[in-house]
Formats: sequence, C-alpha cells, structure tokens
Amino acid sequence: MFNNEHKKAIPDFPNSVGVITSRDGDAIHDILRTVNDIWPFCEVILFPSGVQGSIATNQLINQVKLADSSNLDVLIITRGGGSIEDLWCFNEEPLVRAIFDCRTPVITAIGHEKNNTLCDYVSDEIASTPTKAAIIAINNKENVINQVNSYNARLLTFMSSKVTGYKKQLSSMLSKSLFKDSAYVYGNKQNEFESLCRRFEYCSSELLNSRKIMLNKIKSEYVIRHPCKMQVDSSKSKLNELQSRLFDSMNSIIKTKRHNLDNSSDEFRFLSDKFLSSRSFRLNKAKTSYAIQNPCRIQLDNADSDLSVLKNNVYRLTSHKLQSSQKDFDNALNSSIFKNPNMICEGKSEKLNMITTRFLSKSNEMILMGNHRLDLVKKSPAIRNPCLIYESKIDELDKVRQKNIIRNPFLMLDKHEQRLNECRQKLDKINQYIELKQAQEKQKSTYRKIIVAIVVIAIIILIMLFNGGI
Amino acid sequence: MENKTFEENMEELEQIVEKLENGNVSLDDAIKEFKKAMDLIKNCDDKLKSAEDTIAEIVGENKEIIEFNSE
Repeated sequence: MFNNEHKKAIPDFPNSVGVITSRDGDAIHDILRTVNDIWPFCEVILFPSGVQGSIATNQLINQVKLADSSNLDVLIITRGGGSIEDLWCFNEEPLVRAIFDCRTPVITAIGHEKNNTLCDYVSDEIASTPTKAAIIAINNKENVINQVNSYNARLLTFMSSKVTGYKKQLSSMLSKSLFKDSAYVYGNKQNEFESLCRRFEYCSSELLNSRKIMLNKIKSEYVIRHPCKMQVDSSKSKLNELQSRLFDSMNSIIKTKRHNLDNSSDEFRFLSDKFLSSRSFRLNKAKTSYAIQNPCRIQLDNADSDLSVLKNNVYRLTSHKLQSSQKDFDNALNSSIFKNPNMICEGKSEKLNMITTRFLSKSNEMILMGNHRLDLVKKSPAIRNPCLIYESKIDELDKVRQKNIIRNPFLMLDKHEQRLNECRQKLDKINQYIELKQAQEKQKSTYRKIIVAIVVIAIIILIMLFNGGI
Repeated sequence: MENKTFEENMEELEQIVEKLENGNVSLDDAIKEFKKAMDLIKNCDDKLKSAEDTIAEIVGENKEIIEFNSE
C-alpha cells in the first residue's frame, strides 16, 4: 500500500487543483498566492474541512471522495503545524484508505515537522509546507516560457542549419562542370550533328542531280517517240515570234504616219491663217475705201440689216403665235362639239321654243297694256291741249303766291289770334244762352209748385166735400 | 489544435523538436513540421502570456461551487 509502485505521476500542466484544508487557515492563502505567482492559468478549488481532532476524520474522508469525483488534475491535502495529537486524525485508517483509493494524484503537506502521518506515506508526493505542495502540484510559468523559447530557438537553429546545408549542397551541385560547361552535356554531339548536316546536304544535292538527269533522259525519249510534237512546239514558238514582230512593226508605222499627219496639219493651219488674214486685210481696205466713196451706203446697209433683224423677229413671233393658235384651233376642232354639231342643238330647240312663246305672250300683253294706257292718255285734255297743264300749274302758282304766309310767317299768328277771338265770342254767346235757359227753368219750376199746391188744395176740398156728403 | 490542452501542445512541440533534431527528415517534411511547431509555439506563448489571476472557488456545504475570495 505504501510502495512506490502505487505512486501516480503529477501532471506537468494542471488546469485544476483541489485543496482540502481548513477554510480559515493560512494554508489555502499560501497555496493561492503561489499559484497566482507561478501558474495563474489553473483553477483552485477549496474543499473546506476540519483538520483537527477525531471529528475531522469523517469530514476529511467525505471531502476526499468529493474531490476525487470532481475531475481534478491534482489534489492537495494540507494543514499547518501542530502536535501529534492535533494531527492524529490523519493517521486514521479509513482516511488513509480513502486517499489510497483516489484516482486523482494526491500531494500531502501535513504539519511542518518531519513526523509524517500515514496519509503522507500513502499519498503520491509529500511536501513540507502548503507552498511547497503548490510548487509540486503546478509548474512554473517562467520555466515553461523558457522551455517554449528554447524549443523555438532549437527549431530556428535546426531550420537554418538545414537550409544552409541544402544551400551548400545546391551550390556545390551547381558548381559541378555539368552545369557550367555545356560541352559536358553535349560532348561531341555537336560535331556529330554538324557532320550529319553536311552529309545530308551532299546526299540531297546528289539525289537532285540524278533526278534531273533522269528527267532530261525521259524528255529526250519523249521527243524521239513523238516527233510531230516537236514540230508543233517549234511552229508555235515561231508563230508567237512572228506575231510579236508584226505588232511591233505595225505600231512603228502608225507612229510615223501620225507624226507626218500632225506636221502637215500644222503647216496647213499656218498657211490658211496667213491667207485669211491677208484676205480680211484686203477686204477691210476695200470696205474703208467704199465707205469713203459712199457714206450713205453704209447707213443704208445698217438700216437694211436692222430691218432684216426686225423682220426676222416679227416673222419669228408671228409664226410662233400662229403656230400656237393653229394648235389651239386644232385642239378646238378635235373637241367633240365640232365633231358632232348636233350636240349643241340637242335640247336647245325646245328651250328656244319655250323662251319664244313666253316672249311672245309677254310682249303681246305689254303691247295691249301700252295701247290701253296710250288711249287713256290720248283721251286726257292735257294731251289734247298741252297748254292746259301749264295753265293749271299757273293757277296753283298764283294760289301759292297769294298765301302771304309764305312771305310773312307772322301772318299765321294773326290768323290764329283772329280765330281765338272768334272762339271767345262763341263762348260768350253760349254763356248767354245757358243763362237764358236757367231763367226759363226757374220760371217753370215755380209754375209747377203752384200747380201742385192747387192740386193739393183741390184734393183736400174734394175730400172735405166727400166727407160732408156722407 | 485549439481543442488540445496546453500539456498536449507542449508534448507535441517537444516531439517535433526531437524528431527534427534527431531524425533524418526531408526538407519538405521539415518545413511542414516547422510550420506546425511554430503554430504550437504561438499557441503556448499566447496561453502563457494571457496572465489572469487564478480562479479560486470553494465547495459549499451542499456541494455547490462558490467563488472564493482569498483576501
């Protein structure tokens, strides 16, 4: 149970460290400080437990079991120094067995003295203090960093040496004559190639010559076999030659002839100009002499020419006009009316008849009326004695003249005044008449009253008489 | 590589260094391994330099885990 063969290895880089110790003791603080300093990457989990007396044993056992089941990388069981009695609980068998059964590596640091407990014997590592236990449990950050750096340096050294080695190898290879001297590779292949080229040229020219000879031979054989062919060929070539010669000679002849012609035409032109100029000179001379002799003649000539021009113009214009008229006339003749004159008469005769009858009746009517009126006029005295009209007009004129009104319009006023006076007189007469009538009426009414009174009296008398009779 | 623990990374790094130093490795393989090693170194270095304070926790009476203040 205490043998080394049961000891478990402590992991190099723990991620989680379990600590079983008193919650209030210094041990946990020592451990935390250490971890924080040298390996801060790991988690510290405290499993608080009593660490003194017989009561602590069960608690310790429970926490050991709990910690073991918590999947930790390493477990530290620790407490500070104390008497043998104080530490006695770490000698209890159940706790020792529990520690032995742990699957997690266990480090114990119980008490400061060398008097180890049974737990120390059964654990995987023993430390004298909690701090040392922590150092055992965890790695040192600096060490690890150094290690990583050393790995880095070793790698770089290795790679550089490797690369240098390869470079050296490569350069040594490149320095070999294989890469430096092309002759090393080609050797005398170049010479071989050149000689082969020469041989090829020689052989090919030989072959060509032999083939040419063969061809000529075949040609000559062909000529012998077909003599006509030869003749035809030679004739053809001769013909061609003749043709070309013919063309050449013809061209040269044409050229010379043309040249001659040009020369003669130039000469002719020169001569004719000369001739013409002499003639025109003489003519002018003659004209001038003629004009001196007969000046009127020139005027006459001018007039003559003007006249002829005018004549021509007139003739031209008239003929033009005539032509256009002729054309119009022809067109007119061609129109359907002239071709069929009946077309004009169609329907016209009927209309003509109608108009004629209407004209006749109207004219008759008018003649009758005119006659009638004529008769009337003839019968009137004015016609018989036209002076009558004049006389009557004179009478009328006199009447008008008599009307002084025309001469003096104030007369009209006088006339009106006169009429007004007349009216007033009439009014006075009417008034007199009315007064007379009124007087008569009065008289009548008095008479009537008297009669009525008489009648009344008479009636009364009669009544009285009647009553008296009774 | 990310899923591996720090310890595994360190082990692999050591193996590579030893293999390169001792073994007869071809240049291509050497370069491959070198690259891998450099990655591992970077990984470890990052981890080591990310110095945070230790996480301290305490298991309570009902086995619950509480943050432990060491002060």
